Amino acid sequence: MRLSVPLLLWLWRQTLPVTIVAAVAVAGLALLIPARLQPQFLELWGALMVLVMVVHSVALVAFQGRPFSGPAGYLYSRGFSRDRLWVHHWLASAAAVLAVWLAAGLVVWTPLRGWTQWALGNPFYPGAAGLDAGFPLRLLPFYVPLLAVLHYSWIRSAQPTRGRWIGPILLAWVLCLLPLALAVEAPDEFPLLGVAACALGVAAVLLVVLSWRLHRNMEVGP
Amino acid sequence: MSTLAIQTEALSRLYGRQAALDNLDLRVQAGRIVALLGPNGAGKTTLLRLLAGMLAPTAGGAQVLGDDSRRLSPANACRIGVMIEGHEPPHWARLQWLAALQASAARGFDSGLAERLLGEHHLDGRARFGRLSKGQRRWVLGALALASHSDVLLLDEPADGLDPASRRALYGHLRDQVNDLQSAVLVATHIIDDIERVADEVAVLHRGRLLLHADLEDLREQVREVDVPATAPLPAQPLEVLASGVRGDRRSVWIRGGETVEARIADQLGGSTAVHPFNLERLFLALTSDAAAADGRPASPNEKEEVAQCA
Repeated sequence: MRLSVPLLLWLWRQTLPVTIVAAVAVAGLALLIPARLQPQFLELWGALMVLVMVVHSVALVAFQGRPFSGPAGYLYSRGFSRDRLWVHHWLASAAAVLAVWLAAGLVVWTPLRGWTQWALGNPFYPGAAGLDAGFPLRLLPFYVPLLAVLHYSWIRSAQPTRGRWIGPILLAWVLCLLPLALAVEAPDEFPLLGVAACALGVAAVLLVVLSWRLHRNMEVGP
Repeated sequence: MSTLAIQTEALSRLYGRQAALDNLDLRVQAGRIVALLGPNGAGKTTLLRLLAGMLAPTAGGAQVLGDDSRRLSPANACRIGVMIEGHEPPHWARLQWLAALQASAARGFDSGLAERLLGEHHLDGRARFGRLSKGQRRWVLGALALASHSDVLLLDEPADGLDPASRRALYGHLRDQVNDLQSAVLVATHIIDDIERVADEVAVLHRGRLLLHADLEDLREQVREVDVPATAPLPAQPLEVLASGVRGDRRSVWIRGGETVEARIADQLGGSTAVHPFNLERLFLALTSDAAAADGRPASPNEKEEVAQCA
């Protein structure tokens, strides 16, 4: 399967408004959160980050996956195979997520956050800035179950037999598990949550495979 | 020997309980342009979307280039060119980007031809699709479809919004391509005059059913419209009545009668019967009005109006 740069750019361009807003929001949070950016210190800030990730993912897929729109009808009738389109959808989602977290990374991996927190009077900074370095990378894996269920949801909603509710139900399930799984970052405090995180990972892989299969039968166009 | 490019068998599609297509059997050979005619809501766009693999049939099936339309192989998916009304790229897309996208999907895409066709309308590759007029947009989509050098072209109102000269030019390019590449083309349209100039066959759909599928040259040779008194009996074998419509005390009857149709009409109806040459638009209106009457439902307001204007 060949990579199509115009196709990837097309799909990525659809998410551009979301990507810009999310990049500003996430970079702003990474800059201004006063707590040290490690799970055991984040507390409510951690919940806020989860919320941002959820909103970002929902918006991302809502912009990308509109099977009954005119542009989707156009794209799906260009002659690309369904599998090729599906792979490019995922690549575009991944690129959009990476763009946002690169923005956060630039704040955390440069002295920007340390100086800002020091200027705001935070006593831990700039000394603690080095300990925050893993923050953007640690949060990236949580996009996988979110995007898996959201991509499954829009693909499922466009099946000839529809099934619109299955996606939202799965999404609710993921949303319940995500904050718990987030705590797996602190295994000493929540030892059983590793199991939940593993279950989530397995479910995400299953959903990705299912959505790949269902994407071949999806109905498209207004 | 000609190759079958499109084949549907008992193809049906329901939207809720409404049948958009009903047991449709249609075959299109390579190297042929088929004009797909039908009033609004006849199922033309649904048929094209089914053939393009964008919709699933409720019953029956369709084959395009030998593949089930729902499971097109990657090798065949890129050999099908599609232009469907309402399926348009986003407004921010630049024309050069659309050409690049098409080129990465269709292996046979001819960038030079695309440039030439866009140049005919003085369209710059940097222009955004959303900034173009309706006619220019149709031209762009038509140019990209033609430049893809597809083996099958599914076109829905390709000339809608184009001025008469551009419509002629578009259909002229289409005819040239079919002659050169032996593509199979299905063109759904309401503008009968234009497509009649280039089509090889005509298929008439009405409320999801195929009323007529015939070679256009055969129809021109073998079909005549005659005016008879409304009370006169309809012609019998070997003449075949395709459609008839009563206006006041006169009846118009469309008769198919082989190569010697006029002699046969004279034999059965008398030499003084008024015989009119074949006219596709009038036959289409008569067929769809007849079908609407047979359904026990009046023709749509558009159909009635068109019949009145044409009569």
